Amino acid sequence: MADQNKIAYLFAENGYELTGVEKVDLDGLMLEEAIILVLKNEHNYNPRLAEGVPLFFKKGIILEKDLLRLTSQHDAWNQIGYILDFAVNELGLIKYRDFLNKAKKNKKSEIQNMSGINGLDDFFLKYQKSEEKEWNLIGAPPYETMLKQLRVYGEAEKV
Amino acid sequence: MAKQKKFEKRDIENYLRTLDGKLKSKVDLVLLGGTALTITKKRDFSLDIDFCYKTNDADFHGLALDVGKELGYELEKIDIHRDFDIGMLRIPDYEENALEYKALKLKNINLKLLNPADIVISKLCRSAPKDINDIKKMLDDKEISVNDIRRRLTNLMRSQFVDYRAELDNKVTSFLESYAKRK
Repeated sequence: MADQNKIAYLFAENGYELTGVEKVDLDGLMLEEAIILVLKNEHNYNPRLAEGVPLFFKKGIILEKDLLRLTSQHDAWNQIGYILDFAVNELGLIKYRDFLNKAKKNKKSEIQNMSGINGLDDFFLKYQKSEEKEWNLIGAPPYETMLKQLRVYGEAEKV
Repeated sequence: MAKQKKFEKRDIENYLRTLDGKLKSKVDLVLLGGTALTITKKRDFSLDIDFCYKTNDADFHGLALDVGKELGYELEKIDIHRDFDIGMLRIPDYEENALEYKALKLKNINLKLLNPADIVISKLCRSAPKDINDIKKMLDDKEISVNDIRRRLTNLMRSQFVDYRAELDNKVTSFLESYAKRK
C-alpha cells in the first residue's frame, strides 16, 4: 500500500473522509506525523489533504506535544505556522497561541511548496497571498477552502 | 441520517433522478466544476452539487433545495445558480458551449456539463491547489488542450468587466506558461 493511501486512511480514521480509501495497516504512523508529511509535501500528496488539517485542530484531537516535537524534528515551522495562524486568528483557537509564537520564532526565510503539484511553483509564486508571504510559502491551501472543509464537517458556521 | 460530506457519481445521479421525477416542466441544467468532473468519473467525488439552470418555473429553485433536504443533504451543499452568475467571471454563452450528457435518462431535465475550457477558466479564477491539480490532470489526460483554453479565454475576454480582464488574463496566461515550462 502506498504511503499516500496510508496517510489518507489515517486522516479518514480521524474524521476527514476521502472516498476510495481502503483500510490499511498503518505501521504505527501517528496522525501528527501524517500531518507533518502532508504539509511538508515530500511525496506529492493530494492537495485536499492539506486543506483538511485545520479540522483536526478544531476537533481538539491533536496531541500538541507530539506535533511540536515532530515540527521541530522535520523543520516544518513555516508549514505548521501557516495552519496555526489560521487556527488561532480565524478560528479563535487561542490555546495554540504559544505554539504559533514558537513557529513564528523558528520559521525559515526560504520559500517552500505546499501544493503537491510539482513543476507549477512559479504559478503559485506569482499569486502568493499575503498570508502565504507571512510564512514564506507558496501553494498553501487558501483560507477560503480550509473554511469550506470545516463547513463540510460541521465545524464552522457558514461564512 | 449521517451527514453527506462528499458526493460521488451515484449520489449526483440519485439527486438528479429524484429532482427529475418531481418536475412538472422542462429545465435546462448545466453541471459545473467538480460536479461535472465527478459524474464523468474524472474525479472521485465533489464537495457539493453545483449547477446552473434556466427555466420559467418560478418554483424550481425551491424544489431543487427541497430534493436535497429530502435526501438528507445539507442545503449549503446544493450550490445552485440561476444562469451563470458566479463571482466575477462572466460566461454568457456557457450553455451553448456545454456538452450534452446522455448517460443518465431524464424526462424533464435537459442535462449538460460545463465545457472543459470553461471548467478550467472558472477553476483558474479561484486557483486553489486542488483546482490547479484538477486542471493539470485534465491537460495531462488530454481532455483539453492548451490551445482550447487560449481560444476560449480570447473569446470570453470581451464579456468580462473591464476591471477584471487583466486579472483573468494574467491568471490563465501565467498558469499555461508554468504548465508549458513544466513539460
